[in-house]
Amino acid sequence: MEIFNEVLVNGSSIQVWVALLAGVMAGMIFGALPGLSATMGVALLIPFTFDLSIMPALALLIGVYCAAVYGGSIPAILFRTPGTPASAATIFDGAVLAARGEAGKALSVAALSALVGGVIGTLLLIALTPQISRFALRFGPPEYFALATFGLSMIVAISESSVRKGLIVAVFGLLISTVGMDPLTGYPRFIYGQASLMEGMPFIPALIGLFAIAEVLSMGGLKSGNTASSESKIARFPSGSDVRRSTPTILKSSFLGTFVGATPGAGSDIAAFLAYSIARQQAGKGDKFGEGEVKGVAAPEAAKTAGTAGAMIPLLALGLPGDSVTAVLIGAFILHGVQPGPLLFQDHSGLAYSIFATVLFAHILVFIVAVSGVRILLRVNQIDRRFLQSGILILSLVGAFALRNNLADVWLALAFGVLGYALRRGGYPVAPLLLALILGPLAEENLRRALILSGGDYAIFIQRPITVVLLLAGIAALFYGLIRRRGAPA
Amino acid sequence: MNCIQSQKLLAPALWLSCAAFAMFTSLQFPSAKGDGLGPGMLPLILALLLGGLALVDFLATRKKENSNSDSAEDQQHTGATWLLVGILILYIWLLPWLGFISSSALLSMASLRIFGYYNYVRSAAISLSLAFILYILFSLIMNVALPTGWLG
Repeated sequence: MEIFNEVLVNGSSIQVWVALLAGVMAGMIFGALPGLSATMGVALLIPFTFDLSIMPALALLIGVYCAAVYGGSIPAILFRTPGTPASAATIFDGAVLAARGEAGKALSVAALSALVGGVIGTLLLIALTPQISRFALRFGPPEYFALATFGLSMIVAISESSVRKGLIVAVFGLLISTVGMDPLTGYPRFIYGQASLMEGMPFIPALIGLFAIAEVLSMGGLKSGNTASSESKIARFPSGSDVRRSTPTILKSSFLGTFVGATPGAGSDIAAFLAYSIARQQAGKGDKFGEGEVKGVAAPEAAKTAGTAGAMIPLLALGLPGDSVTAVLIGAFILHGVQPGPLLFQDHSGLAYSIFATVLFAHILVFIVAVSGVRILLRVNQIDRRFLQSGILILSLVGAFALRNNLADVWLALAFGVLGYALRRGGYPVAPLLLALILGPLAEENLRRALILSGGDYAIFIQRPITVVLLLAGIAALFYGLIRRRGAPA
Repeated sequence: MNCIQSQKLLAPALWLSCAAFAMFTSLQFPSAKGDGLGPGMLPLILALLLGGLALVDFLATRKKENSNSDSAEDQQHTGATWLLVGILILYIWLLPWLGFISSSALLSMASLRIFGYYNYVRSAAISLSLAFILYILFSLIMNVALPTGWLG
């Protein structure tokens, strides 16, 4: 009853609704503009939440996340340019539909599939997260260490670059995460007289640098102007038979997307492509995938939005991000004094259920904005990209400064921006670095606590079944990554 | 070994340097007392791991053929990016002296020029508006004490 009351209080707060709507609209813009991503959107908007209480802050960021993942489909369908990587699979059939004058049909199928995917994903999130979280309450230091190791292995194994490069970046990130006071003895490490580093490497400047500044630097020399022309036929809806034919695909893809999204490191991109390829493999006689098939739009759209809800499962239940956006969201939680993970349901259960409700309403709002605001989003797509890049640069730097009114954080954001750019140029994945920064302190503290508990005996990690399973799963994930690369065409 | 191959070997060399530096520094940290690890043990293990992986990366990069070289456009892109980084360094350095609005407007104008925007009047107007809007948003609404400097 107490939980219900808290959810109701949060739900009746006008601030939460305004923040959610603002987040959804901002997210649509971030998603619809190729080159800007959901991760960048969330990272850039975190500084705007400094003065907000936790629920409006999370509503804003969750709104950005859910909307940006959907928003990427608009340019994918209309201009063959995916706004976000997760929308690339929508091009195969969505762009074909648009080319033959059925853009409206493609867009509305995408919006409807996204709504169903989002709602199913959120219902699974509500059903599964408390159970996983209750199970995780049994975890002690060895299990937490194994969990952090597993999370890192997964993101390295699934990252688009080679496992070797992913591992290098993850180990480097873990090394950076040791900057600051030693968690057990308080001894300062690698700080070189910088008091601002005593509490560890500040996370917000790091993520702003890695995902906003690095992105602009990567686009820096591209003299890009307007990218899009407007499309007139955007207001046609799918027929009843199209909806009937697509329904099983949407439902299957929603379940698939939730579980893929819940796998740490996988995220919406993989969910969308997997759902598309499965729908294609199971194509019926009349289905013409690649030639403007409605199911070809429905499958990736349902899966990727379900994936956003799925990615919240390990985040809320275990404190483990499902993808790079949820990794950034962890920073927002910590910034507002809440540690996601099993204790969230024990100590802040009202907040946890309010987050579920926010995710659900975010998906519904995305649908409403998507259906009613396509024409406005098309106009946004015509804004000169150079102004946006310039604005993002300044917003990134001022956002890093606003955290602690400290110029050192701006230098750090720039340093991480250059690092992120250099990593991209060298073909190294960036996500493992961010995850290592989050999971590094958790891994170290629990490794050392476990060793103190066992009197320095490393056998503690092979004596507890959950630890063994998690460590073996981590090793298996790395081997899978290696084998996958070997099998892939050069 | 040609120039492109040398460039590709730069990354493993940098990783190796990082690993060596971290290893050297963590050896200076106090050693463990009683059970468990001391403050330097984990950084040391990670530095050794990074060094090992960097060596594997170095060998793997050497083995690979020089498949693709950077095009002239890529090189121009890289040049523009590093110019932008230089301007960002100058911006952060000048921020306390010039103040947020003027230095941000200058950064915006310079970055627009790098991005290939040549309409200087419009660029100045947009840059000043942008800096002013961000100032109002952060300083007046969010109470962030942005640097004011000589020019504001």
